[in-house]
Amino acid sequence: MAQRSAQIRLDTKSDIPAYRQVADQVRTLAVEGVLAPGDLLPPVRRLALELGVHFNTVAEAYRVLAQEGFLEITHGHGACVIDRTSPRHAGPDVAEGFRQRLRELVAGVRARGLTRRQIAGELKTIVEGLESR
Amino acid sequence: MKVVSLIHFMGSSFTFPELRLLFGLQVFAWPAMAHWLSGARQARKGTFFHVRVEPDFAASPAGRAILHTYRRRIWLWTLFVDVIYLIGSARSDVVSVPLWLLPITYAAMGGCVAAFYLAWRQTCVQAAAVPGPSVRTAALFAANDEACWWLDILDWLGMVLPLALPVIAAAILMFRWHQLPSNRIWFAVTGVILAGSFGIIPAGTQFALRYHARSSDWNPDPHASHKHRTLLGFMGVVIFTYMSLQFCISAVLPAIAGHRANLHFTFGWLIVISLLLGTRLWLVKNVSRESGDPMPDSCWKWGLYYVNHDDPALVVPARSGTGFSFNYGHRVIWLTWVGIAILCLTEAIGSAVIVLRMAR
Repeated sequence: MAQRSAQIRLDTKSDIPAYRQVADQVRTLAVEGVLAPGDLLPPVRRLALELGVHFNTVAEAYRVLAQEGFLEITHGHGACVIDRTSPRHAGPDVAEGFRQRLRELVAGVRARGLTRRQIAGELKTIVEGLESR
Repeated sequence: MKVVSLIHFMGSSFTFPELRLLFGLQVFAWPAMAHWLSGARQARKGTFFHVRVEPDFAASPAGRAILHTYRRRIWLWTLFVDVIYLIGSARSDVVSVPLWLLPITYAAMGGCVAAFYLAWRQTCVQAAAVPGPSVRTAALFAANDEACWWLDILDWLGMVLPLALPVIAAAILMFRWHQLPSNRIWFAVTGVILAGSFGIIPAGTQFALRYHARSSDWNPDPHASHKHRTLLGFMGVVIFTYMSLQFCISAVLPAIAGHRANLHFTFGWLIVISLLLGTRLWLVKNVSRESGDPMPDSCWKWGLYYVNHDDPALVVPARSGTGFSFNYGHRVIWLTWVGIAILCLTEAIGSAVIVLRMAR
């Protein structure tokens, strides 16, 4: 079996709390299909050790993802990625919130020097990835 | 022939002046080692007295002055300790002169630590702070190349052997208790207890390096990281196991053979030291750390001790050189050291009382 690679990157000087950095990245990997249903995530202690954070930080990240329906946490078996192909019905507030965050994100990266063409290219790649699944 | 004579000389019983001179000279090993480890050697990883500094700080007038003061302090302090020892031990005899060994060794070591702390504080004040890396990465899928059978064997030997020797010795003592001369009981029991308590250090270190150390801290490549950690722990295991072997044989032999052990371990030490030097050289040349010490500066207390309550790692790479540091933010590390210190103190006081009684 080919060796799979997926990495979590934690910036200790970031303003974003460590548990949210972990949760955001695992969620992204699950949405992009890098993490497939049935994949076991590393034990909380192992991941916390490798990231140099308290066990509770990783446990909190796993709990958030379990509440969102990405993970199933079974006592003694760890955290398992579950199939989330039939998402719950999202209300209009979710779409509105997404639009708002996307605008802010685009404005933010434009302010940091990314051109319109580059931003459009990145968004297009994401859209193509979503449509191909 | 000369080597054989040297071994014979070192292994034979010493006269009082020889023993006094030898103890007086051994304290200079500590400043010599501290001197050797300071300067260019410690600046190799972008640190100066364990402070992250600009690469040219070590060669600057301020850096040179700090280094010069540090070296002067360690040598002058050791000289002071030695003079006190030579004056104080002048009236001792061959039985009670070994009692000086621990106090003067600890005084010399303590002086080196204090001088390091002063140099670290000076560096913190005078050097511009350089921010360290703040990003850590962790693989979500275990890397298969981390597993290696011979490293696993070394790891398990390191975790088991230092504790197994004193346990075996204790079992032999229990079964042969009645054959032990009454004047040897204290030394036999404390010898085995000391071997056991000293054995906790390498066994625990090997365990922590295998299971409670961050792979990426030692090397980005998991296999190289495993090799680095195993061999680092193995160096401690070799020294402590050989020491433990000496303690255990000396404790058990009177119970088995009915007489005091008269064995010479000097030749074995030559093998141990060669093994250590070889491993260290190999470590430095082949698997030196490349990840650049991502531990926050604020967690290095006095520049020497890593204290981070939130970090689950029990051992982290040393700030300079190829060694390691325990994470004193964990209670288990403190409790282990306190336990060992209590045992050593009890043994030292008990032995001192018995030796002084024998001298009378």
